[in-house]
Amino acid sequence: MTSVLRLENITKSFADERGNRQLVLPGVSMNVEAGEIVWLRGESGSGKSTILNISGLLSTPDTGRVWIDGDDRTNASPRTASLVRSIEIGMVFQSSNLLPELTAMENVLLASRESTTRAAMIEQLERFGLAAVADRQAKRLSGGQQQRVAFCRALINRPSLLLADEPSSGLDRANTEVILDAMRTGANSGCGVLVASHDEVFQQVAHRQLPMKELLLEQK
Amino acid sequence: MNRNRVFAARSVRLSLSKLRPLAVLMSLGIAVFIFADSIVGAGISSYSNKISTNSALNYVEVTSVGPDSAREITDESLSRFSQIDHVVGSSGWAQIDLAIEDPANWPSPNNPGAFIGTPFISGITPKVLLGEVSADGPGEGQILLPDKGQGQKYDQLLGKEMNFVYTREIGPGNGEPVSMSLRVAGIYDNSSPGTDGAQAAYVSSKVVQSTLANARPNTKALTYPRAFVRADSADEVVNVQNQVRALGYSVNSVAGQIRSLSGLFALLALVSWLIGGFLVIFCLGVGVSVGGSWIKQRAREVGLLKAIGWSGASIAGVYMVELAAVGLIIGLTGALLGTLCSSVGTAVFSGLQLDLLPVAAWAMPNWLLVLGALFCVPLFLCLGAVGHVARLARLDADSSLRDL
Repeated sequence: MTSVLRLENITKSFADERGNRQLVLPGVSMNVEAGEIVWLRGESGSGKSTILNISGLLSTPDTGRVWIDGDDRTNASPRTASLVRSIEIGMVFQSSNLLPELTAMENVLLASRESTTRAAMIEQLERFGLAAVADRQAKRLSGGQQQRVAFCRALINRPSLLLADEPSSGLDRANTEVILDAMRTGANSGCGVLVASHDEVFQQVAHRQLPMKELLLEQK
Repeated sequence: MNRNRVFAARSVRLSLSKLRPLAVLMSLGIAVFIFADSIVGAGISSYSNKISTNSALNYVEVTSVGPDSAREITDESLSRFSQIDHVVGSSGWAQIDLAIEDPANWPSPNNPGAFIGTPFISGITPKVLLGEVSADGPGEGQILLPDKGQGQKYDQLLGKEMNFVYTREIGPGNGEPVSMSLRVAGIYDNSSPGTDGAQAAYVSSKVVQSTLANARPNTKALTYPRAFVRADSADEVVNVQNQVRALGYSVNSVAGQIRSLSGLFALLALVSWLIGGFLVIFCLGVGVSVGGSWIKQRAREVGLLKAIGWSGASIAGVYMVELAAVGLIIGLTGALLGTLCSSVGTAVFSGLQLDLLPVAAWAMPNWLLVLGALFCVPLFLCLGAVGHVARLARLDADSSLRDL
């Protein structure tokens, strides 16, 4: 199996309010294979989002290397990072982060490439049961519908890596099931999925679990 | 479906909604600027132009006898004056006694309507109070009478076609009355009479010439005690004056005594552009302010867009398009409103007939200023915000997203 994501000895620190550096990641190494769902489990503040942001090239590690689809993207230029995010990575956040004034379709469009047709977007929305609300403004969708639109947006370009940060937060059982199903479908089509959450529901779909405590302890 | 277009359209709608008070203020400001230019700017520019090119300021007065010369002014002299560079015309000045022939038309039994026929010199002759007279003065067969004389007003003669008599020489000390028909085309203000006298009655130079030639048939060549040579602008008067003097004539001018006047009027003529300059500074200020406020308000949005694959350059580009579109809408609204106000406003001011603001009714504003409003508003809005937008586009996505 090919690694779609590989992190090698990643360290990351942040400055607190007083300007003192706080080490969040002491040297983390992990990988996600194509077609694999990896559940990064841990409590809030354990560094899950930091790992996701580094994996999504939204943040640069202090030390270590980041490999996306076999390419070293550690020091990718902002332009290259944008390109990689638009083609190879899909991201879902805790709150859906849709633009509320745009419709569901238009929110998906924001992440799509120029070659993506309207028909393809409709098809994607249909997979998540959202065809009927495609032209409804995001602010008029329920929380569950919004999160499903976020998954549509993340998967519209058929990325090789899907990163999801607490995607089930605030969702009911039915909507959570839709999201789990989306992850299974994504993995079945070769996408590597890294989901960061403290929600035990991801046990149902994860091929592998990575508890943050053990991950950080290993490196120490 | 283009994602940039969709995002920009949504952002323009949002911006116009959030910036509505500022957008309204800017549109009103633009409308005021255009309106002010139409009334004040155009009026002052027109007035300063008139002063500079059609007033006593751009005339050289030539006399036949002066402290440094004694030379007759004839039609040939006038012709020579006209050939001087920057001279647009020359007129001989001479007067002839006129009287109303028919006693029935006399203002009163004791007032036989005696006037002094004088050539009308555009820009020098006093203001016309009544009647329709062109800027070049009365035409053939027309006469301007003074407003009052001998304790009486002459306005009741306005519009009347009357015979005026003058004396033709038939021998030494001997003459006969000759009449000519003239219509009273206007009444002028003689409350502050100049060298023409309080009872001057203005006719065209041609009428004066032909009348004088007819009154003095034994005179070989008509001579004038004075002539007025008109330069194309007040700036050229001194030059023209020197050239006329070089021909042997005594000269005088107003512009030669007030050297700085043309500079003053040139400055006044810039009023329109000064008004436009304020508009530019205002737009720059708004752009800086809006761009600055976006740093905080749109950080989250930038983080999100970067997370879904937008580059900093794309984000900056779409924000600039948004600003330009907002600016264009504001400029268009202001320009339309300003044009409407200018049209109505000039009609109102024209009706007031203010000397210092000679504007035509229902006049359209300076089209250059309108175009300027349309393009300068978005341009300078963008220029003012470009620094902030560039900073926004370079925001760290990680920290922006963490602020959610």
